[in-house]
Amino acid sequence: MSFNSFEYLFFLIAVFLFYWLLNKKLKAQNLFILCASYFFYGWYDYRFLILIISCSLADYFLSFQIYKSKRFKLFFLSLSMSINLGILFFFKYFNFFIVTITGGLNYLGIHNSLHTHDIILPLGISFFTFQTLSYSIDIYKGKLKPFNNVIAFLNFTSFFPQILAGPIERGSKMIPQFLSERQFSYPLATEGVRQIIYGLFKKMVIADRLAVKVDYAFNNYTSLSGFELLLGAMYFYIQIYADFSGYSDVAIGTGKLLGFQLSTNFRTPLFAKTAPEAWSRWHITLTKWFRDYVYFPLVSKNKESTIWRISCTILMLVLIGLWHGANATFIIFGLLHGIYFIPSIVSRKWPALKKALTVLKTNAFFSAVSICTIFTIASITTVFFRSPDVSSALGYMHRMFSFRLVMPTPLLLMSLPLAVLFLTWEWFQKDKEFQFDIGAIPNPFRVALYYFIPLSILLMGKFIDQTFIYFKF
Amino acid sequence: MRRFILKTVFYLSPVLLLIGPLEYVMYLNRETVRINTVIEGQINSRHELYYFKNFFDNSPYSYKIGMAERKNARILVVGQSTVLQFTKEMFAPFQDSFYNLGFSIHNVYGLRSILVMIEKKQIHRPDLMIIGIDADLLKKRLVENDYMDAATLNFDPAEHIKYHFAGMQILFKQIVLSHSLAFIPKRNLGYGQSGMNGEGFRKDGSLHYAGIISNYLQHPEYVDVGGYRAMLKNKDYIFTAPYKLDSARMRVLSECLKQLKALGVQVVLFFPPISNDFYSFFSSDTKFNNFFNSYLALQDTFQAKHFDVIRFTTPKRFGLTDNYMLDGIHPGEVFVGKLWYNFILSKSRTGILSQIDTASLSRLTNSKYNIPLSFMRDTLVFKRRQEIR
Repeated sequence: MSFNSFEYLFFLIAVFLFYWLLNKKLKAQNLFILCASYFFYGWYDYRFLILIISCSLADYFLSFQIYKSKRFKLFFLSLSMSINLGILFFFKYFNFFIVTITGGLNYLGIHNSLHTHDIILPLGISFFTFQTLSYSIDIYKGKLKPFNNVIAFLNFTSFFPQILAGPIERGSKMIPQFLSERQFSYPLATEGVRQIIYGLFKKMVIADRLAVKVDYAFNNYTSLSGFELLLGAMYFYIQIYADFSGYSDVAIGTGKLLGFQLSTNFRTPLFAKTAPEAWSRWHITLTKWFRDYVYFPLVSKNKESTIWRISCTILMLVLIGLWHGANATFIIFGLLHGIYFIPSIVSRKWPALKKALTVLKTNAFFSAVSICTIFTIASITTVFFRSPDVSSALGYMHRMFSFRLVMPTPLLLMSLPLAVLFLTWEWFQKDKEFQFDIGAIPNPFRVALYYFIPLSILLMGKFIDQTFIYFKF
Repeated sequence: MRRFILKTVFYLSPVLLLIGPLEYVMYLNRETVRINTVIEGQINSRHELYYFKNFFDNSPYSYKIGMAERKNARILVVGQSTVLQFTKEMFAPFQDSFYNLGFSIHNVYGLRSILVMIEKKQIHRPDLMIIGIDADLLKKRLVENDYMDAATLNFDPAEHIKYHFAGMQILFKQIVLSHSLAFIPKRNLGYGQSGMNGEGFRKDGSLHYAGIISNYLQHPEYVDVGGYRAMLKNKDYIFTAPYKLDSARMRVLSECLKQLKALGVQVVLFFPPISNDFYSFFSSDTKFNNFFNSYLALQDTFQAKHFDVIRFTTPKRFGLTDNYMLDGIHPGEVFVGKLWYNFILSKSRTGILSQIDTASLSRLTNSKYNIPLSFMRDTLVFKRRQEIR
């Protein structure tokens, strides 16, 4: 039941109406949301319900042990982490691990009988395991007390708007919302609908239309010119942004319809002026997760060392890359992004560079130049993200930098106006919480936009065979 | 709450108001008809009925395999679009035991799927199978094509809401581009907008190109309607690099042929012709030409393995003109008929081939009513059935 499917539309309408019929009955509402969430998740594959329920219950009970125990605190945390990371490793990384080990041993001339297995990846596994991990770690660190309400906790781990692809929430933000009474709020619900519709517009009209051109570029890279391939890479960068931020908008909007506030996941990252800024605006909840649970603990060991800081940053970004999937392409993707952070890290101890970076951010001309530069570099780097393997990515890159000046085929150029119009709109709306927050626009134009967006989804959106890119992570 | 719902419905009203009429127009175009209804209709009708939807995916897998299942054909034609002009009239006296599965496969894996279905007795084992071997069938691709499985065979877009919405978009585009609301066909000769106009898959599985034929009647000269010169120039569609034969696909084809022999099916391999115009055009493209020559060399390989082959030719080599081609790579039915006749006469015939009525085939291909692209029997169908709205 993807967000861009009719099944989800009917599901959402039914859930919305029934949920608010239970107004002021908190327990019933929470139980209903839990059932709806499990129904939603089980729609894909009911067998994985056992996995998510057992994992959640284990974390729920272990959290009390982590909190209460003095001698075995670390043991219970390790147990919780082993369960979550073990499941994640088995389903997501086991085959990658076997292939890598086998390759290494074969290279050394050592024969082995290790073999891969046909493992189906449960949807959203990287998202819900990270949520439960943060819960256990926060309790261990004393930042959070365990919540003594199993329904609220199960809701936190399985809330249907965000179970498949985030935002990755923290217990401290979500569980109190499940524990407090929710009233129907007209402004919040209206905002939710706006955000859902704009999310669908980004997904179905922008991302899915660009996907056709991106597929064309990546499937035929051996016969296209460098400029065409650069255009293909840029389209892909816009595509994943529109796809994933579109998903997040629908998730956040759905949350608002039910009276919940989910975390913002994107803040127009395509207009970032530096690499760190881009990451602080892209998939914010994941970046914050790695920052809080990986980067800060590591960097605090030797705050003054620039080399150490660079190493920690690169490690964090490689892990973020690897989080996306078990493939060397994601490791390179993360590594390259880590390298792009180096100027900002070095500038901390190099005033001249710091000044130069400040000028880049404040001066209008240099700001424009740096936005274009970061956009281009990030687009080129996404070639690793999109390619099935390293050799294809390198082949694409090699051809892209061949600098053959050939006029792009009309097929690729046709989507340029759509991409430019979309970026222009996003630019003017870049300071808003979401980019269809149009309350300030005068009325005739606002009404026109309200009509335009759903109509353009109907007439231009892709309805067939388009899943969200981040579902596979 | 009520205010919220009313306001939401109010802003979504243009969408809701548009959906109804668009769906109704698709219904009037017989586009929303289910595949099973089409199959039943074609099987049970005494008249020719055409099937081709313009707003929905024609789902050739489920349609063609469904028809083949029902027809229990002794003669099957399998391949891509280039085999679609083999018609039942060329196989007298087996007209009723003929089915053209053309367009239901897009690579050799599709052929393998059909073989599996024959083995599982989901499709009747034919006595003769003509297999179209296009260059594209064996060309290496960076991305693998999909092939048939149970899900694709039972798939019918008319049963899924999202395909109706996709259809509405195409219809809306048609309305905008044509600046006209006259989009309901005046004739009622089949299923789907094109089908109603007499263009589409016939009951025997062949395809009637009504549009190209009527254009030819007005301007009797060859036109590369498919735009294959431009496609090759832009390295687009079936002409994307790399230009080489795929060894994995070759292996699958060899296995399939071996299996067919083991099943006792007589096999004829058809290397479809190409227009003189397109052939001379790509001769200057060294890479593609090299690939094409390696593809043509397969004819000798197969003949050495004792397979019957209808060899590649061009209209010029055959003593005809490009007027006999529908476009750069699709021969018209008269040309295919002549190639088939030539093949039948050129060899000592065995099995079902020996029973094919060559006199009837000769009359068909040399009829004075023929035009280069057509035997023109569909025109008679149109005249006979004055089903004007």
